[in-house]
Amino acid sequence: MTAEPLLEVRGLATWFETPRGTAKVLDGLDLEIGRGEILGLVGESGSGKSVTAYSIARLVRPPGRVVGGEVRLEGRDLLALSEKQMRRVRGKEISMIFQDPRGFLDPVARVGSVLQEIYRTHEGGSRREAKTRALELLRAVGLPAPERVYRAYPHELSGGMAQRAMIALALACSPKLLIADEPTTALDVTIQIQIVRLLASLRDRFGLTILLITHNLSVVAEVCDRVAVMYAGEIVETAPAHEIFSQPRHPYTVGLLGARPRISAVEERLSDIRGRVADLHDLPTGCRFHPRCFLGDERCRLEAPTLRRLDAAHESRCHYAEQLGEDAA
Amino acid sequence: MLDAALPPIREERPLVVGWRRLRRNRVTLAGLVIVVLVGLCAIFAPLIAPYPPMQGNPAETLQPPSLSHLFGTDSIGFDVFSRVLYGARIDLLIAFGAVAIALVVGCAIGAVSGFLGRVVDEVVMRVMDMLSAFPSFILALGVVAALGPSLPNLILAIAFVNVPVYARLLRARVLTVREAQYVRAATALGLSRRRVLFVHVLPNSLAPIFVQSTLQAGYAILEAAGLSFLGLGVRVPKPEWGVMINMGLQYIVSGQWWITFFPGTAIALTVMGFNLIGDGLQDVLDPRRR
Amino acid sequence: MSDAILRVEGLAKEYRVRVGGRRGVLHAVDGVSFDIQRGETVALVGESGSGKSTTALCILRLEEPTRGRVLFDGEDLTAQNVRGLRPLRRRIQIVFQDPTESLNPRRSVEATLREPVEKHGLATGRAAQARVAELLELVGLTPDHARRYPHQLSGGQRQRVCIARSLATEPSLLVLDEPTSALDVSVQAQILNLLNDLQREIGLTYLFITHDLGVVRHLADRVLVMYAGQIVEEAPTATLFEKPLHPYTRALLDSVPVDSPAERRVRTVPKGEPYSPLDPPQGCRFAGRCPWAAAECEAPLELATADAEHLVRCTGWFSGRVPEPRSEALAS
Repeated sequence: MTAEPLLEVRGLATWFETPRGTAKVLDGLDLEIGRGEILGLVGESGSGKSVTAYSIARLVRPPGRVVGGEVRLEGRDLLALSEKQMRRVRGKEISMIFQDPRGFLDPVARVGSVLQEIYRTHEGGSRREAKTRALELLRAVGLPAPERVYRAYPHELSGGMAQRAMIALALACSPKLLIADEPTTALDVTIQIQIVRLLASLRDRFGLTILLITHNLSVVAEVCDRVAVMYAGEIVETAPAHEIFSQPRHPYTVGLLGARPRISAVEERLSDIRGRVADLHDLPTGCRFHPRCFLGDERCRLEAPTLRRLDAAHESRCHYAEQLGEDAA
Repeated sequence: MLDAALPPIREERPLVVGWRRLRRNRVTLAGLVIVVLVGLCAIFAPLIAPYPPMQGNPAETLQPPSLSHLFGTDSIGFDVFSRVLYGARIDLLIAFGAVAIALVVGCAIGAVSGFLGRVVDEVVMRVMDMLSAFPSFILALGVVAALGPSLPNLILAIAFVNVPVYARLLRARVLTVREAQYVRAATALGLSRRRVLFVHVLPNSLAPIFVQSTLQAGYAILEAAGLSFLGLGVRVPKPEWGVMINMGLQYIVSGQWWITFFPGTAIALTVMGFNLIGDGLQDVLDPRRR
Repeated sequence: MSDAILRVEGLAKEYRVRVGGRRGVLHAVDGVSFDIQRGETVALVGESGSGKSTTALCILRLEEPTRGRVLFDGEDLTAQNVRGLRPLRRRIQIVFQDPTESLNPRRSVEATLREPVEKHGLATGRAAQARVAELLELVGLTPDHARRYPHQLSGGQRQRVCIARSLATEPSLLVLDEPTSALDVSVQAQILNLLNDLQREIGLTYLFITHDLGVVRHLADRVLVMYAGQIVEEAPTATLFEKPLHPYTRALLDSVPVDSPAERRVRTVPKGEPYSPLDPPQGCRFAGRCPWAAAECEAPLELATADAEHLVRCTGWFSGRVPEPRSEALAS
C-alpha cells in the first residue's frame, strides 16, 4: 500500500450488555483498508466480524454500543460525528449490503423508486436524472433487463437479481467504501460466483474499495487482495491473500484452511479444530485460541500474544508465528 | 476429536428458570401478589371477616366506614367489608371455574381441529366463528336466561362464551408448531400421531394459552359482575361484587358512596392483578430465552 | 443391482400453486429414479428449485409423492399406510439441515434420545439409559450432555444430538439433508469426519443431499445431479469431477470458488438463474441457460447411458454438439 489507507480503524471497542454481563465483543481492534482494495474479513460465528462492519457504519443498536476507538475515513473520524452528519456519510461515502437482499429491501416499494430516493437525497437532481442514473446502475451490476427491475417489487426478483439490485442501491452515490456483509452466503453456487465476480469488476472498473465479510475462505480466494482473520473479537492474522493461503502464520488460519472439503483433492480426514468457539463471557486466559490450538503451551495460557508484524504486509497474533511459517498450507 | 467444552451447569429445567425469571419481573410480581392476596381473602374469609356476610343489622344501616365497619354498611345493615371478603370467594370461583372449563373444552377443540386439519378444521372453525359473532356479554346473557340464574349456570355461561377464544388460539399455535422441524423429525422417527400431538405439539403450543387465561380470568370476573348486576347471575342478596354494586347503586346519589366503591375497587384490583401476571408470563414460559 | 437397499422408481411430486394470479403445477420432483447399494454414499446435488430436498422427504414419506414407487430393502414404502410405515421408519432415518429447529426445545437431550429407543420397543428403563449413553459416545459427546437442553448446546453439538437420535433405532439407511450447511466451517469438518467414521464403524448407507461440491467430493461414492426436478447426470464421484458431461454439471463445477488465489479457473458461467419448474417445457429444462442450446433441445429427452456407470440427460451430448469437457478445468 503506497498511499494513505482509505479506512483506518484504531482501538475500536464495541460492547454488548447482556443478562450475563457485559460482552466486550470488540475491545481494541485495529484495521486498515487501502484505496481500491478488497479486504476480506474472515471468521466464524462469534468472531465479531459483522459487529466490526456495523461499528464502522455506526449501525450498532442497543444492547450494543461502540464505546471507544477511531474510525477514520480519509482522515475523518466517523465516531466523532453527530448522527446527522453520519447520515450524510451513509449511502454517500460508505454503503453496505447484507446477506438477505430481499429482507433488506422495502417490500412495498419498487426498486426504481428506492434508487431514485437514495440518489436524490444525497445528490439532488430531478426525477429524470435520477431515473437515468438508476438504469445506468442496474445495467452496471449486470442485470439484463434494467427497465423491468426498475419497475419491480423485491419479491418479484430472484435471490441473485435482488442482490444485484441491492448492490446497485449501494452504489447509487458512488461511495468510497462498500461494506459487504456475507453477500453471497444465502445464494446458490452458480449465482454466488456471479456476484463475487461482479464485486471484483466493480473494483477493477471504478476503483471501489470493498470490505468483504465472509466465513467462506474460497470466496476470499476468488476476489480478495488482502485478508484479515478474526477469532473471538480479535484479528489474529492479516496478510495479502496469496500469502494467507500459501503461508498461514496462525494456527486458527491453518485450521480453517484445512477444514474445507475441496473439490480438487480428496483427503481421508478433514483437519478439524477441536472444541467450540470461545464464549465472550468466559474467555480463556492468555491467548483466546489456546484451548483449541494444536501448538499451544504454558506460555500461550499465561500470556496473551499481541498482533505483531512479521514482515512487510503480514501480521499474526501468535507466539509461534515464525514456526508456522516453515510449513506450507 | 471431542467437541467437549460445556458451560458450567446452571439450573436449566424450563419451569424452574421460568419461576426465577418471574420473580425478577416486578410488574408481574405485583400482579401475583395482588391475586394471591385476593385469594387469601377468599380462603380465609370466615376467619378474617368480622361479621357474617348475610347477617344484616337493621340498627346499623348506611353507616359510613368506621372502625367497627371498615367499609361501612349498606341499606340492609350488611357489613360491606365482610361481604367484599366473601365476595372474593364467589368471584374467584367463577373466574377459575369458567376459565378452567373454557380452557379444557376450547383447547381440546382447537388441538384436534388444528392437528387433523382439512374438513374437520373447516367445520369446527366455522362453528366457533358463529359463536364469536355474538358480543360475549349478550351471549352469556342469553345462556343464563335460558338456563336460569344461578351460580353454576353463570359459570357455564361464561365458560361457553370463552370456548371459541381458546379454540382459535390453540388451533393457530398448533398449525404453526405442526410444521416445525422437530415435529417432522418426530414423525420421521416413527412415533405415533398421538404421541407427536401430546408430547411435541401441545407442550410447545400452550404458552399463549396461559397468558390468555390470566386475561380471561379478569374478563370472567367482569362478565360475572355484569350479569349479576343485571340480576341474571348470582342473585341478591348473595355477597358477589356485582350484586353489591347493584344494591348500592341508588345510594350513590344520596352520598353513600362506600357501598359501591369498595366492591368496585375489588373488581378493578383483581382484574388488574390478573392482567399484570399475564404480561410477564409470556417471557417466563419460553425456554429459549436466556 | 442385486443388493440395492433403496430403489426409487419414477418418483414425482407436484404442487398446485398460484403464482402472480396464474394457476400452475410445480413439478418439484419429476420422474426421479435411482438405486442405492448397501454401504454406499450417494450424493444428491443441486441448487434451489432442483427438488433434491423434496425427493428426500418423499422417500421418507414426510411428503406424499404424487407418483412413483420407493422400495426399501424390497418393501414398498409408498404402498404402506401410516401404521405399516412405522416399523419401517426404524430402519431409514433422516438428519435435517437446521439442528436448532430439529430439536424440541422443551425436551432434554436424554428425553429426545430415549424416545425412539423406548417407542420402538428396543429398551426400557436402565437399559434405555445405557443406550442413550452409548449413542452420545458414538457421536463424540459425553453422558453429561444428556441433562442439557438444546439451547445450552452449540450448533455442532446439537447436530451431533440429531445424528445420535437418528442412529437410535439402528437404521440401515441414513438420509442427510444438508446436515452441515447451517454450521461453521470448523464444526462442519468435525461433523463430516464423524459421519465418515460412523459409516465405517456401523456400516451405514448414506443418501447425502447437498449443494456443496467439496463435501460431495469428500464423502460420496456416486453423485446424482439434479436440476429443475430431474436428474440430469449420474456418475461415480471421480468420474463426475474429472469428466462432467451435462452443461449444468460443468457450470456447477466451474462455479465453485477456487481453493486459493494461486488457482485460476476457466469458467463458463450460465446466464440466468436456477428456476423452479413451474409448468416446465417438454424438452430440456436447462436449454434457456445453456451455451450449446439448439432446436433439438426442445424435444423430450431421457436419462441415457454415456459411458460405464455414467448417465446423462442431454441431447446435445449424444448428437455431438456439446464438446468434451475440459480436462484441465479442475487441475489444482
